[in-house]
Amino acid sequence: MASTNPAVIMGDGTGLTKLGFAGNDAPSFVFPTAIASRSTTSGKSSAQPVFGGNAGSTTSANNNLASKRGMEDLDFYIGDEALKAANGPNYSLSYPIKHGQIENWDHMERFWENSIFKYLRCEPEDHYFLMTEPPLNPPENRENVAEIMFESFNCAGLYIAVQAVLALAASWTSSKVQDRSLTGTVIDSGDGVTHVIPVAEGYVIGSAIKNIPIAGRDITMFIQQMLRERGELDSSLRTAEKIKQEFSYVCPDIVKEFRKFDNDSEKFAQFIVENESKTSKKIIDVGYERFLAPEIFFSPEIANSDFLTPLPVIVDQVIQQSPIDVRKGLYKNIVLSGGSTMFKDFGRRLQRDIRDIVKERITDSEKLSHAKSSGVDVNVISHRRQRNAVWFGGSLLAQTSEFKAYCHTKADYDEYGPNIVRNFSLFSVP
Amino acid sequence: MLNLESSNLSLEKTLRELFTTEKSVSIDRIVSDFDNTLFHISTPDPAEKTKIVLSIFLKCYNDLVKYGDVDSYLRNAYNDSQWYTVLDQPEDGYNFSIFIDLQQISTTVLASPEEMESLIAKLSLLKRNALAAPFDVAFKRYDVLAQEAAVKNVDLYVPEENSEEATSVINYREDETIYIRPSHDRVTVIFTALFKDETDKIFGNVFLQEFVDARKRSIQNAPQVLFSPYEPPLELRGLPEFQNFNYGQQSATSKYDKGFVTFVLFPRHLVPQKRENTITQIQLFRTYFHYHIKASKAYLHSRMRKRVLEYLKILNRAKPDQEEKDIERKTASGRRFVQRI
Amino acid sequence: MPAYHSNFVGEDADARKIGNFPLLSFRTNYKGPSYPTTQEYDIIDEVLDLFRPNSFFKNFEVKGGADRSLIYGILYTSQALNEINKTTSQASAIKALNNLALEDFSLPGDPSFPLNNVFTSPKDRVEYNLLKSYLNQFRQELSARLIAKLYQNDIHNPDKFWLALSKRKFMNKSL
Repeated sequence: MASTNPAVIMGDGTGLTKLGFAGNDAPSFVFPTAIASRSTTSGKSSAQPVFGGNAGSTTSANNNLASKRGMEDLDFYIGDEALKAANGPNYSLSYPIKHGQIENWDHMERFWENSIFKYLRCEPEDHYFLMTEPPLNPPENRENVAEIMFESFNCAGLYIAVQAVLALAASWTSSKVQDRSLTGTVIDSGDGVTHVIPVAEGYVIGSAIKNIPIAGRDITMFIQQMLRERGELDSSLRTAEKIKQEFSYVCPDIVKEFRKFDNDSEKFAQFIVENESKTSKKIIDVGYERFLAPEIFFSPEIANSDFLTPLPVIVDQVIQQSPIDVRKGLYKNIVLSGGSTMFKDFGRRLQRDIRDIVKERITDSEKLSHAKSSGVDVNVISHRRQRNAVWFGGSLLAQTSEFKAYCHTKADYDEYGPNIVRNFSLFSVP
Repeated sequence: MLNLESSNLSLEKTLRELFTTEKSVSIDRIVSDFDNTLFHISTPDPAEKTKIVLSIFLKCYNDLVKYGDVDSYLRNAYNDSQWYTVLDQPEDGYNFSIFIDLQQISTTVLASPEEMESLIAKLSLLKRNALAAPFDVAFKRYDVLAQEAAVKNVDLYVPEENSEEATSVINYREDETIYIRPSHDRVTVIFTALFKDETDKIFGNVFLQEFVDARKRSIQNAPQVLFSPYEPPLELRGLPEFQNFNYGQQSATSKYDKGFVTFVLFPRHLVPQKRENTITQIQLFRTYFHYHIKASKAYLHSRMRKRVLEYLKILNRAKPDQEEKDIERKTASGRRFVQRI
Repeated sequence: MPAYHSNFVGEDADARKIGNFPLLSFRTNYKGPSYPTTQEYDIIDEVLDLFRPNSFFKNFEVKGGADRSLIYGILYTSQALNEINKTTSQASAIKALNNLALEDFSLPGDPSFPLNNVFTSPKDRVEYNLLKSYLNQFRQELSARLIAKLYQNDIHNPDKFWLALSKRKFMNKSL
């Protein structure tokens, strides 16, 4: 019956949630995964009456439970509204997802409740849902998700996909991709952390995943630091963020880039900060941070003294730690995902650096073995949907006619119980 | 979130983005709404990115045409602005299309944000307005009937005898229907209540009972609500689908295994200044109802989780301490006690 | 990517050496022990070229004698930039840097020299004096070329993008 209703794609990340419908090229909503709920200021929160409670101490509370119970559970905000509400009194903000995994299920359930009814405006009974999960998500968490989706919301059908696999699927839109395989290395860089995840035929090679503590926020802070050192008129985080988005790019070589700035004053840019009422203007000069900021992926030393391994080296290590028979495939299909991979020429530089590393190893081993290597193909794939790659991959898969056949339906759930979602069959390549 | 809004937030946001971005981009986006409603915002001609078509698909459009003449109702509602025009031929696969030229809008409207906001608000109420058509017809019919009754001097609260007045049947969802029936002193709106899930059914019955009782207790101004768990109300007797129904025969396995919720809108709800609001509120009834069933399940879940945590604490307390015999004890100088056997 | 190394590593084999510090020749009008040279790109140019990228790096592996010249040059540049502020005019900058170049400074081997783990000290008094006068000349020439760069576009105000880098410390050290 739900034939006309598009599937819903919900991508809940640590920082941002992306909501939308299958078939669209971008999510309808992107907002912080935050929920502001009414803070229970009175001491009652600990002695909250328990449903059906028969413990002696709570019986008195139970008697007038109906009169006491208001609609507090509906008094909350999510997303941008949550941030706003948390500025005022009475509301406290919380982020239910930590390090990619859902920590607070109460908040998450209400977050979804609001996402579905207020933002997406759909009756979950009419729609199939595709939800995303981080790599190495424990199966128990999947079951919890299924419990909420099927029991609270009665959703028609559910598919839970690993983010990295969806990011691979999203890269199929790139003209560089000839065969639509689900083997590749995904570099997923958001605001807080960057993951390098090898995927072989749709399965994540968990043992080889590596995380890098350098991501969007570090780049913003680096720019902020440079603005401060130069004593610019405005060095707020917001300004730094804008400069990052508008002016930053990756250069092939910093020394040459410095020289380019010397010879061409056009390279220096100006960014104008206006205050809210547009009465005053501040002009901020933008200089070397244009190319130095994204450079911290490639020379982490310049921003941080704790972590010194460049991204290309990490990618190479990850692939080297994967099983030998998939390595060629992993080198051949390195896919970018997430906002912090959007810098101009990021993919090109990464490809060059990884190629150099691989070439060096091949020459070494040729010298040692006196055998000619057949060579390793290194390809880094950039595409237009990179920013919301995971969501977009979900949208691509969920609009195929086969999608519903891969979902578990409400009837399946009622028949077999939550552990049915421990396994989802992979999409065959359409 | 206590209340559901009647405008579509996603549509609103998409339109605002389109109106405010400086460089125009081609767009092809679907947005869904409750009750099998689908919007489509697109730029049909990729060469002309400023020409936008907004279309709506409603499952019950045919019913709306039949009972509400929705087409002319909407045309009437959306001919008040120069910024958009209603297309004569709706987009393929959709019921109703509005054409917007961004170029015209961006130059003039952007200067006044209020005007833009009201424009966006109007467009994002498209679904509400479409569904309002049959209500509008019914309310107008009520006006006529009430006037006739006043002329004939019929006592207001005498139940009318003739049941010839036509009932609008809007099959707004699969197996779920809104019936609207005007008469000289009231407009009766009946929703079918159907639950796919047994648990929901129980919740639903409790909720509806509360609804019925609420008016008795405190809220005198609210419309009268009647709930019949399986028997079609007598107002619907005349309809062909209920003609063979055996009243008074209690059978859960009856063919009509759904409940009926009756709202009786009295003249005070139908005064012109309240009319629009009444329409807005009543068409969201079903969604609102189901939303609250789901929200209360979520609430129960959080209490269950809390309870489980409490129990776990008790269980953990009950764990015996680690057995002590394996622990080696030493004196301050490092000597050990060894038990001689 | 690690910090950039000097291109003169390897070319310094025939240069005179004091300890492990090569006395590379450079173009200059200042008097001193540097041999005259006509090469277009000398160590001083390189110092000014690599100062900006390298000042962001905290680690540097010395690969040859010329890298030591580079380190010394970069640290001196940083010290020189600290003498100048946003409003220093070209004339007063010349004066300040001249003073800085000629003032008493420590040499490898002196207890106050910060890079003694990378540099070896001169063997005797003769070498010590030679190194001192070489570095004097080096510092003067570097100061002159640095000022030319800083006031390239505006003779009243130094380039603020350069000045900002004075807060960075190459190898976490300063002279």
